[in-house]
Amino acid sequence: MRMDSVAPPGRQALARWAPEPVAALAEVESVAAASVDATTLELVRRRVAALLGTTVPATGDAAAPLSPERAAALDDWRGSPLLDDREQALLTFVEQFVFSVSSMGDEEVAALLEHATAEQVHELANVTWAVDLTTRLDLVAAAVLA
Amino acid sequence: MSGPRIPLPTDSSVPKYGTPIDHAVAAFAASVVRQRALDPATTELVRLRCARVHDCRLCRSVRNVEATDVDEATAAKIDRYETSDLDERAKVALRLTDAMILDPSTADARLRADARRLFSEAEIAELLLDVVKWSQQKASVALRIEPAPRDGLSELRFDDQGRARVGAALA
Repeated sequence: MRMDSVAPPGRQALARWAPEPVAALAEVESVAAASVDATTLELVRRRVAALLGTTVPATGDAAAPLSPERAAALDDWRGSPLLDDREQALLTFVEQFVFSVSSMGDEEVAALLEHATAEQVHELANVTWAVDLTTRLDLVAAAVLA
Repeated sequence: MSGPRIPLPTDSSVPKYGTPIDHAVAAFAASVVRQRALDPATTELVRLRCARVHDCRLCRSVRNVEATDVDEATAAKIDRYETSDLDERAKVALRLTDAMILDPSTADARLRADARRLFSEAEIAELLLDVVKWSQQKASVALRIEPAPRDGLSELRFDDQGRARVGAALA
C-alpha cells in the first residue's frame, strides 16, 4: 500500500522486534490495496494522512490515479465539482471513521451503499482501517521506538 | 442501539465474510496474539481501552481469561485512567494506546522516555501492534456488525494458533 519501496523508520523498528506480525501486516496492506480501485485507495490514503497530520509519499508517476487538480481539491472537498457523489460519500465515511467511528451514522453507510454492494462496503471499511491504523502505527512507532 | 448496516456474516467456518482481506486480517491478528513479550494484564487493559473508545459492543462484552489480574474494578478505571490509582506502567501503556487511537501527535519525547523506562522495546512493539489488531474493530463498528454474543460478559480465549474464541458466560 505504501508507494515507497523502503519501510518508514517506525515500521523498520517494529520489524526488528516483531518480524512475523509486521510481515503479516504488510500482507494485509497488499491485499487491501488490491481490493479497491487505485483512485479509491489514493483518496483514502490522502485523506487519512491529512487528518492525521502527515503526508503520503509522492509517486512522481504521470499515471497517478488523482490529477494534481483533484488532489488539491481534497483540502476543501465538500461540494467540490471535481469529486463526484461516490467520492464525496467515501470521504465523508473516511473522516468519520478516522475521527470517531463510534459516532458513525446509518446515513454515512447508506450513502456508500448507493454506489457499492454490501461486500464492497465491507471491503472499503477494511481498507480504511488498514490505511488508518498503519498510518497511526508508523507515526507512533517512529516517535517512541525508532 | 444501531443494528447492522450490512447483512451479518452467515458462515462461521471463515473469518467474517471470507474475503481475501478477511483472511489476511485474521492471519495478522493471530500472529500478534502469538507474541509473548507483553504481560496478559497490560494486553487486556489496552484491549479494553480500544473497545471502550471505539464502542465495540463485542469487545466490551468479553474478558480475556488469561488476564486474571484485571477484575471489573480495575476495568472500570480505564475510562479515567489518568486520575485513577492504576500504576504508572498501566498508565503509560494506556497513553501509548491513546497516542495510537486518538492523537499520534501525543507520542512525544516524554512518552518515548516513559515507555522506554517501563517497557522493553519488544514490549513496546507488541503493544503498538496489539492496538492495530484490536482496532480492527473499527471496521466492524462502522458497519455495526459487532453484536455482543449475549447479555452480560463472556470469556475470551485464544487457541495455540492465536485464533480468538468467545466462550461461556461469566458470572
